[in-house]
Amino acid sequence: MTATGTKTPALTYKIIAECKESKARTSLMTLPHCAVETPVFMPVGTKGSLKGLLPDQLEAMDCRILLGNTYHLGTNPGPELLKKAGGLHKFMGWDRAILTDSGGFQMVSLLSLAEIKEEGVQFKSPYDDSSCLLSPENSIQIQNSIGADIIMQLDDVVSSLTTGPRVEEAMERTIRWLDRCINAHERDDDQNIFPIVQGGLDDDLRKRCVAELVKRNVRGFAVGGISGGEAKDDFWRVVKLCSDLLPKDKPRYCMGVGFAADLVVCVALGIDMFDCVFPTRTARFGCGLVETGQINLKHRKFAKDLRPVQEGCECSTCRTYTRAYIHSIVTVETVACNLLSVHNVYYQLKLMKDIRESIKEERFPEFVQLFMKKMFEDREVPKWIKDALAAVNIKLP
Amino acid sequence: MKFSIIGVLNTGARQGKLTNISRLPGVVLETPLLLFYTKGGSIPHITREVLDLLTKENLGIQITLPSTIQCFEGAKSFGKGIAEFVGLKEMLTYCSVQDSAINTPEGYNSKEQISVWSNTGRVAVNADKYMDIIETFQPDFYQALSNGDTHSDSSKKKTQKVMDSSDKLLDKCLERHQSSLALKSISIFGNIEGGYDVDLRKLSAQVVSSKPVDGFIINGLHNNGPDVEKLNLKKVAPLLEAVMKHLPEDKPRIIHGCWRPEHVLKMVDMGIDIFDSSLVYITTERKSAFIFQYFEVPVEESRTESFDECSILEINLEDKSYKEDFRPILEDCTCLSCRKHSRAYIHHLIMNKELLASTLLMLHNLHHYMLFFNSIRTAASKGKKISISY
Repeated sequence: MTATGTKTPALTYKIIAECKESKARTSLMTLPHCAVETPVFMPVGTKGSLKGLLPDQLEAMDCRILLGNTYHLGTNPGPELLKKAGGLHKFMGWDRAILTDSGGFQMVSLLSLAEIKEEGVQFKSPYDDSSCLLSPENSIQIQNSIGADIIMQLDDVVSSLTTGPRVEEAMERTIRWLDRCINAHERDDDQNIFPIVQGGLDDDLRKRCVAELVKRNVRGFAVGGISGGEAKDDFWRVVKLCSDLLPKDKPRYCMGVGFAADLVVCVALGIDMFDCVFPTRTARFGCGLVETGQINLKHRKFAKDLRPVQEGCECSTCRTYTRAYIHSIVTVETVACNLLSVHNVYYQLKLMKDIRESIKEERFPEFVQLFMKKMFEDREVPKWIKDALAAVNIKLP
Repeated sequence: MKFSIIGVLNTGARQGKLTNISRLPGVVLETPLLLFYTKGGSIPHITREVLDLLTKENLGIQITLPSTIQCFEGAKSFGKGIAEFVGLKEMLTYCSVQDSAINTPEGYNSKEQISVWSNTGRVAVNADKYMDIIETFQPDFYQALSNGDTHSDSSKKKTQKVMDSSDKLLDKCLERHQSSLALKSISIFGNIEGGYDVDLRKLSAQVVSSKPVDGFIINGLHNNGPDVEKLNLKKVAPLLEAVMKHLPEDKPRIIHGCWRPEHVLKMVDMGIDIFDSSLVYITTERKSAFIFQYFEVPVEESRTESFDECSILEINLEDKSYKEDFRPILEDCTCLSCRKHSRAYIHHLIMNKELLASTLLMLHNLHHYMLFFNSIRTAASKGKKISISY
C-alpha cells in the first residue's frame, strides 16, 4: 500500500537507460516476488524445477525470474495440489519471480489430436481417452492457482508457416479469448496478465491485433507466433513491427527466443523479455554455450582439452571443471548434465547482464559489433542480422 | 599419510586419525571414517557447487576404477591428479579397484588380469596398467590391485585361487610402488582375501600383514552392489574376528560395500576403521530417503544381538502416499532438502523423472549418513557407542 492508500500495481516498469541509436532499453520491472532488470532471459523450469538445478544455484547466479509451463503443472501436480501447497513458489522453494505460459502452445505442439474451437482447445487426455477442454477461463484458473507473477492469456496459436484465412481467424480469436481471460482473472492484485500479439507474418494482421490489445488495461505485452521455423527475415520484421507499435512504457516479451544472436538482435529491436528451453535442452545433449555458439563435449577432441567450457566464464562449472573432465562423464553421469545446465543458464544470464550494462554505459552498438564479431569469427554474419541491426541504426562491418 | 589410534572402546571399536597427508597439509580426518562414494569421479547427482551447500568439512572420497578408467587420458594430460581433475582437490582421496555400488560380474578375472566394467564394457587390467593409472591419479591412498571375486558360496578351491592371485598382484603393485617416485608419499593398502573360509582368512591376514603395506582392505566378502545390504552379518562376523586378530593395531582397515547401518556399527565394534557411502547412492537410486534414528548408549549396554532386524531405515518417496505430504523428509533435519523442500515436492519430481529429485534425495541421504558417522565418533570420544532405534 502506498501512502495515499492506493495499491501498488503488481508490475511497475521503469526505464533506466535507452540506447541512442537502436531501440534497446534497460529497465527495472518490479514484480510481487522480485525486482527484475530487463532485458531479461527467463530459464524454463517446465515441471516445477529447472533441469536438476537447486533454487539456491539459480539465486547464486542472480537469476530472478523463471518460466513454468501451465500445461505440465496443470496436469501434474495439478491446480488442487498447488493450491494446497500455497502456490508454485512455495511448492518448489523459489521465492523470486515466475511467469507461466497459458498452456495453449504445449497443447497444440504436443497433442496431435488437439482441436481449436471457439470455447477453447479440445484435446484427448494423454492419460485416458477422455476428451478435455482447455478454455481461456480454465487456463486462467490454473494460472491463478499456480500463482506466478506474470500469467499469459490463452491464445490461438498457429504455426508461423500457416497462411490464408486461418491466420486472421486465430488473431481475432486471440483477442476474444483475451477478454475472456481478463474476465476470468481473479488475482489482478498480485498477478499480471499479458496479452499476446498474433497475426502470423502479415503486417496488417499484426497491426490490427496490437491496436486492439493496447485498448485493454494490461501491464505488459508478448509477441507470439514466431520463432517457429519461419525465415529469419520474416522473424525480425515481425518483431520490429510489433515492438514499434507496442507502448513504450510497458515491457515487451518475445516468446520462445533463446539463441544468443537472436537475443542480441531482439534487444536492439526493443524487446525486454525472453524465454527458451534451448540452454537446458542443449546441455542434456552434452553441449556447452560459448562465444562462438556451442560446443559438443561428447566430441573426442575435448578428451585432453584442459580449458573450461568457456574461457573467462565465472560460473561454478567453469571455475572448477575442464572440458576434458566433462567429456569423460558427459551423457553418462547426471552431474555432467547439471554442470552444463549451470554453465548454459549462467551464459544466458551473463549475456543479458552485459547487454544491460552496455546500454547503461551508452555503448550498446559497440557491444553488438563485438558480440557479432566473436559469434561469427570464422564465417560471414548472416544477412538478416545485418539487415535487422541496420534497421535500428547499428552498422556491422 | 599417518594413521594413529586415539582410543579403543571396550567394544573393540577404535578411534583414530589420519594425518600427514602430503597433498593436504594440516588436514586431519578422524576414524571411523566415511568415504564419499563417487561415480565417474563425482558424488552421484552432486556437483562441487552443490557439495559446498551440503558441508564445508574435510571429506574423504572413494574413486572407483570402473567408473573412472575413461578419465585416464584426460587426467594424464591434466597432470595434477584425479582429485583436482574431478573438482574435489581438497578431499582425502582413495582409489578402489571395483565399484562398491554396482555388482561386479563373477568369473572374469584371470591370474594376472582383473576385469573392471566401465560404461563402455569390460576392461582387463593387469598390475602394470593399474599402477600406471594410480601414478596418474595420484590419490592419497589406494587399494592394491586385487582379485576379490569370492562370496559366501565360493568353493574352497576358487577362494584359494583368488587369494593366490591377489597375493601375486600385491607383490607386483608393491614392486612398482616402492620404485616409483610419483608414489613416494602415497599409501598402498593390501587386500585380505579368503572368502568365507576362516583358515584362509587367517592365513591371508598373516601373509599380507607381513608385507610393507600401509593398511588393509577386507576384500572378497561379496561382489558389490545392492545385494550387500542383504548379507547375513552372522556369517561375516567370524571371518572378521579371525582376520582382526592377525592384523597390526597401528594400520587402518577398510571394508567396502553398502552394508546396513546396524552392520556398520557392528563392524566398527569389530575394529573396522573406514567405510564407503555406496549405501547412500543405492538408497537414492531406489527413490528412498533415510529416516533412521540413533542415540548414544553406554558401551556396556548390549542390545539383543540380532544382526538382521527388519526395520524401517528409509521411506520411499515414489509412494503415492506422499503426494500431499508437505512435511520435510525428516522433521528437525537441517539438510538443505529438509529446510526448503517437502516430501510432496520430491514425490512430484520423482513422478516426473526430474533430475532434481535425485539431487535432493542424495543431499538428504548424504547429510543423514554423514551425521551418523559424526555421531559414532562423538559417542566414542565420550566412551559411548551408538545404537539405532526403530
